[in-house]
Amino acid sequence: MAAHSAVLSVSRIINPIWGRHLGNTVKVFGTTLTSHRNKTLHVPPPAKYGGRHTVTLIPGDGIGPELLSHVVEVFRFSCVPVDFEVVHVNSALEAEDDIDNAITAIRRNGVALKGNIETKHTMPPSMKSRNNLLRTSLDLYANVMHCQSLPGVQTRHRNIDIMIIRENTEGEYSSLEHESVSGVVECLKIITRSNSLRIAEYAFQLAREKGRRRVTAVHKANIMKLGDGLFLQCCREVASGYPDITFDSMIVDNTTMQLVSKPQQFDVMVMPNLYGNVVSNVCAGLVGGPGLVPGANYGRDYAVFETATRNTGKSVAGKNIANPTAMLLASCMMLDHLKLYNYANLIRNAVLTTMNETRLHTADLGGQGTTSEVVQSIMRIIQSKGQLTADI
Amino acid sequence: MAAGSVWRSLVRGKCSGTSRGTDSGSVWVQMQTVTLIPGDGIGPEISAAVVKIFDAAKAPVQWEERNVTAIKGPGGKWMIPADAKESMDRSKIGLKGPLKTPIAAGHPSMNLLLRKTFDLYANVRPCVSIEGYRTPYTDVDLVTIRENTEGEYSGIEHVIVDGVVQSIKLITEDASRRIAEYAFEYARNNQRSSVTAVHKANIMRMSDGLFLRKCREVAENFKDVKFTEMYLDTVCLNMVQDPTQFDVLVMPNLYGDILSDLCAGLIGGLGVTPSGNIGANGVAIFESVHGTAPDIAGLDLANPTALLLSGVMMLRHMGLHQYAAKIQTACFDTIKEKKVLTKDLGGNSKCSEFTTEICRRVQDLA
Repeated sequence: MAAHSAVLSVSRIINPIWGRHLGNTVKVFGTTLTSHRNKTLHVPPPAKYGGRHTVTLIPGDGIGPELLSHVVEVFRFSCVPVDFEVVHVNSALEAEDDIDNAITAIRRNGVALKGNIETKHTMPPSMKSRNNLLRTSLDLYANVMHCQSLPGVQTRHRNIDIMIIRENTEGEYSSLEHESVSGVVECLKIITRSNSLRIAEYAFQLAREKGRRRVTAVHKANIMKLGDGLFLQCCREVASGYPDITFDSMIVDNTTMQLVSKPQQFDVMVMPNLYGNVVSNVCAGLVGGPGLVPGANYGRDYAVFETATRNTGKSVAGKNIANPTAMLLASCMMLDHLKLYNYANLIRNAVLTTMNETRLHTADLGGQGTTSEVVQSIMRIIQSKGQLTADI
Repeated sequence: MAAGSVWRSLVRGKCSGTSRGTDSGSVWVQMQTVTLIPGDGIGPEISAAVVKIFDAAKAPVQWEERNVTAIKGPGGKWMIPADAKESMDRSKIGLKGPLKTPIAAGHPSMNLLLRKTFDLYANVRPCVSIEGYRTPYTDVDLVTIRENTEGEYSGIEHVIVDGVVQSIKLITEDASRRIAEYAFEYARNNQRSSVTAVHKANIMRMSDGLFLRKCREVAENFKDVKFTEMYLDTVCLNMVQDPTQFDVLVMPNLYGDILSDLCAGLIGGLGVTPSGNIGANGVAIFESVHGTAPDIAGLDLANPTALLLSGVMMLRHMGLHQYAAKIQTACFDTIKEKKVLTKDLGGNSKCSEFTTEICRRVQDLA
């Protein structure tokens, strides 16, 4: 990798134009090289000035803007020392300037809270998914989601407590496609040893930290022998270094079947990108829907928080019926990341009290409450705790 | 008198196979040949059970039993035995039990071999909640149609550099059009109101985009069937919350594999799920998708429901709807009664007892 940066710098001296071209070629080979290029840069200091953190806020489309405005409202009310730098991304434009600005802002601040950016798949294939671009550019390699049954929510299955760790940058989401012959399209799924080891290491570390007993790797190695076989092998290698944690594996179709019949058997699950998409959505559905579960994307240097199932929610946008729980819990995860634990617990308890005790539910949970009513209830509970609050 | 009755039976024999309700043996219907592949493990006993039940229902089916253990043909290529292939090509309809997946036999899986030999491009799994076999999900009534030849299961993988592997997902125009056409025709023939294409075109713009375009084009010719498109993750999310919103789902290979097993889980697992594979040239092989269960093979403990329901699907495919309805009702009633159930359904009866009970009901319904 030192050789690569040496080549780049030499080429920049010789001919500035060629240097740029070479840089683009390097990008084509995938994210591993980009991340190695980043390793030579030093880790930026946290964006904390005068005791206040600065966090990038990307409203996105659909219900993103309204839910994030509620988050800002609750933060302001609870006097949380966080300032938001809002960056808008217009999903309709083909130029990548918007998303580049957002990425730069996240690099500057280190932490972001975002809504989902819509991907119109009628656009040409050269226009990549903005969300995916964000994840790969910042090398947010681990997507973590914690699905827990909530006592106040009626679901078919009880006592679910699953942590899902999903590889977030490669696999089927490499966006490498080409039409070799007219009418025949090839799409490449890339699995690398380094990324698989990295995500497996992350999963086992997290399991140990949270006191979890079992890690299950989800794969389809009976069919994709080389690709998923490599992933499974890496997981096994990492597992041997954690003898206190049980490791097993399960094929993805059997996993989904088990999830809908006996989800209580799962503890921590680790998997490549696409299966992660399927399994995380199944689990979110099992505990009550997309409005309840927060998600986090962690990289080495950056962290971006959003709802776990990444929906734009166009059908409920602007109607004041969306469930703010997922976004508020994601913001609490962000506060934990910023080490503002007291504020995180304050807001999280208020949200869960509204959910489980007051039982004020929005339409997606079968209730009658509006988004604003739920947020008002949360703020009232925060005020009742006696902490310093601004005026409503 | 004797000559007269012979003349009458000859005349009736010339009529094409029509099924009358009361089948007391006085109407001679045309027998159709079906290739039966018992399979391994519990395969032979559940196939025998199905044959017995079909017999009791007097279904006009003539069974031809064949073995499909792979043999090495001329040129070193693995293929299924010639008599099996000949029988299938002639009868066009097959019923298959579970096949053992060989580990060190040197030849590919039998299912893969069958799929390639007969170009079985569509895998159809109707998932209907079984009254009497309770799961957390009631009122499930959907059909998953999965493209079975290409997609992520093309088996094309390379090690690019040490530590970097690429798997190729292949989507072609022809295969996508073929599966979309089958899905819409199935919807039309079975009175289903809508077809939903499941995809991930926001990420895999070109491949799933091609699949989606073909589905849209085919939908234009089937205006009587409603066509919608939905992302794979949204389908998964909504499926576990409210499966009643789905009707017919059509999708490429990998998503189909995951979703069809998800739906099987909703109704109770692979032990009660029927499945059919449709091929080019009118070939159709119906099968049970569970394993060979070698631990209970030969002990009369197996549950023949999956193979039986696949047989029912087969009868519907052949146009013998009344026989299909009779056998299905008998099977569901037996399960609903809960008096005679095999171990996996929650009872402690033997396979033979379960079979006899269904036969009795079928005869009562005649």
